[in-house]
Amino acid sequence: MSHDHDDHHHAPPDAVAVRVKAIEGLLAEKGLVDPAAMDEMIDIFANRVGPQIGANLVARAWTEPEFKARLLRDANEVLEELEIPRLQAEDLIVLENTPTLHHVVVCTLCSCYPWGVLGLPPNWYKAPGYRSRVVREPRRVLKEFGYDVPADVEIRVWDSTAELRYMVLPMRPAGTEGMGVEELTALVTRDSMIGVSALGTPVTA
Amino acid sequence: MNGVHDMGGMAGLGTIDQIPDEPVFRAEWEERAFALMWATGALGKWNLDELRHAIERMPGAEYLATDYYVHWIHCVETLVVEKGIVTRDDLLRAWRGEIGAPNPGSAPMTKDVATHIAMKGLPLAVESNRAAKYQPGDRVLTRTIHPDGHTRLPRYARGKTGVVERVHHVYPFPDTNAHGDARPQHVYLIRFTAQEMWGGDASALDTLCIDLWEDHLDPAA
Repeated sequence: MSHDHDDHHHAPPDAVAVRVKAIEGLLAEKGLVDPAAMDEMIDIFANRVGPQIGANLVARAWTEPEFKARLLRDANEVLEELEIPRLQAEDLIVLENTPTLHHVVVCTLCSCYPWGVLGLPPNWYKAPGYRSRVVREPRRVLKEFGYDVPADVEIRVWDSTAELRYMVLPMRPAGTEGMGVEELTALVTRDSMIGVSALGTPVTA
Repeated sequence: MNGVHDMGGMAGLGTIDQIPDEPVFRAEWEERAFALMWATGALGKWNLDELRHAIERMPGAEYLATDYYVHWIHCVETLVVEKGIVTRDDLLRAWRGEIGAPNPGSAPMTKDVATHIAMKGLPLAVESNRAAKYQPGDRVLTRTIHPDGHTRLPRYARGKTGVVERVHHVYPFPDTNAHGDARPQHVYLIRFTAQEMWGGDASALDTLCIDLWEDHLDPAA
């Protein structure tokens, strides 16, 4: 990136890894950051928090009507009770898909995403292609993800502009009637909880 | 500010690249950049809106050309210098590789604090007995504003009429909170039709929901 600057001697190093090491090292030298505490933060989000948490909530909602009602009424109470990590899920709202309404979530301004239930977002969610297009042409974008939304189904796009975070409760696919929570959890994809796809819908794109 | 970060509705900004089984972090530097944001945030010198605005102030061409976590590193570098935590000379020396031994004893984000932040989050809703100006069902018009500073009212949603769907809690107002003035107020979930946003070519059925602050809104005529 140094070629973008007038003064090459005062530009950040081109190798971003060097730049990251420099700022971390400098702040550690000054006693302002603790690299071991940073390791902990990384471990939590690389290994412990992920879409399996949201998938389990979805599976329970499909099988326990009372749980589903609570999840839709006050997801925060449920997260608190289940001790689900709350960073970037401090105020969560769960959106239920129905045969006539399909929700899809985006953050056009940055990258807001419900970390506590879905983990850190995939790169496409944070990249300009998705952020710019899904608000304007959700049907085309969802088709690229393999979901051809029927013409009589409303698509509702949620632009996460404030501190509320949104997770989609997808419709339960046909043919799963006999399954328990564990089996159902394994069926629920991250993309279905962002709302860019549905479960058990044939790929028509 | 009308920066490239405010990209809702734009065209030509690239493909949507789905990568099966993509790792959470693609390189070690991404992990460190991720954690540095929280470790420096724990110093308590800036709020989330200042942080977002520091990213938005990146030169637009650089914003679009760089990986996501480069934005985070740019943000940390910008804020630690602007807030006087390190000097520009410190940063230049670190870039040259002149860094002393770590001295982590007094860092505010300890392992326990890291766990606490992850588990409890950083709730921003403000306890308030303030009365909400709007109620569900009210028709509102979003303001036409083009501020020099931060705003969470996206360009594509300005000057549009929608309906209040839900009244959320009271939160600091990002447009001023990024510049040192919290002005807490209600946030509202506003529903718009796709045609209100994009015109008659858009679906007559589809809708958009956007969370906006009281000062983003006026009553619709």
